[in-house]
Amino acid sequence: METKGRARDEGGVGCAVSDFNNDGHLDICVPNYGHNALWRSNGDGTFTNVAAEAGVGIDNHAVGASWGDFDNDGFADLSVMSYEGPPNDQQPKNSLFHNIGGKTFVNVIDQVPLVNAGDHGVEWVDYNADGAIDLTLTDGYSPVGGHFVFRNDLPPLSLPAVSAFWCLMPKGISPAQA
Amino acid sequence: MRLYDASGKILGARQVLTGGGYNAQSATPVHFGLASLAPVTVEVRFMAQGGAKVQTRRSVRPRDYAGKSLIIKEDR
Repeated sequence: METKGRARDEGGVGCAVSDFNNDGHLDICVPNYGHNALWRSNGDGTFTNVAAEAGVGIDNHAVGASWGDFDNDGFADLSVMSYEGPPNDQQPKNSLFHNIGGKTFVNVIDQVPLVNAGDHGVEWVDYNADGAIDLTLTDGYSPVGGHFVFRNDLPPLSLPAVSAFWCLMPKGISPAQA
Repeated sequence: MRLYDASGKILGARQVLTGGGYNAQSATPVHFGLASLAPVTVEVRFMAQGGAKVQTRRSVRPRDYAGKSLIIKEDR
């Protein structure tokens, strides 16, 4: 896994790990200053960057990313925190990539412009335990800043098909202690 | 963690996050979106000295966990 030919100002900060094509092997998304990378596991310890063909390899100034299946179709979707604009006037330029069958992604952020609100950190978590995973973002570059939680209002009919699993080490933290 | 259907076909793999990304920290539940309510097999690989330890729960009915979580602890 090496990306050659990148300029020194094309950094990459946070990465996110999940199995986007449900083949049982964990893949890696690297949001970049520049074109994002999506390293698909070949299952043998090697990876192939499929970002361009998968549709997530856009040119952006991306910092954080997180995987979460927001529509519970069985395929992990991807939220990417990015921003644009000069110093002291940076604006969110996020992507919400809907995973289409584990093969390609469609950026649907324009359908939910409300969540185009972060610029650095992002995590998915089902805070209200309704089975629909929710989105939390950090906005560090606006005059006020913010840490937002967006409730996922997936239709109730979808909810029974959902479950969440905790996995704890023997001395690990519990939800109540987290 | 890996999830399988009753026939053993893999449904996907997810990682238990203990922290990641940027400006973010997490010890969050692993979330699997399921397209079907059919029973699943849950496989958890605990990282341990000497290699991974695998624990498996079979015939887990997603319907039983609507609104709550399945907790799997490492056997000692």
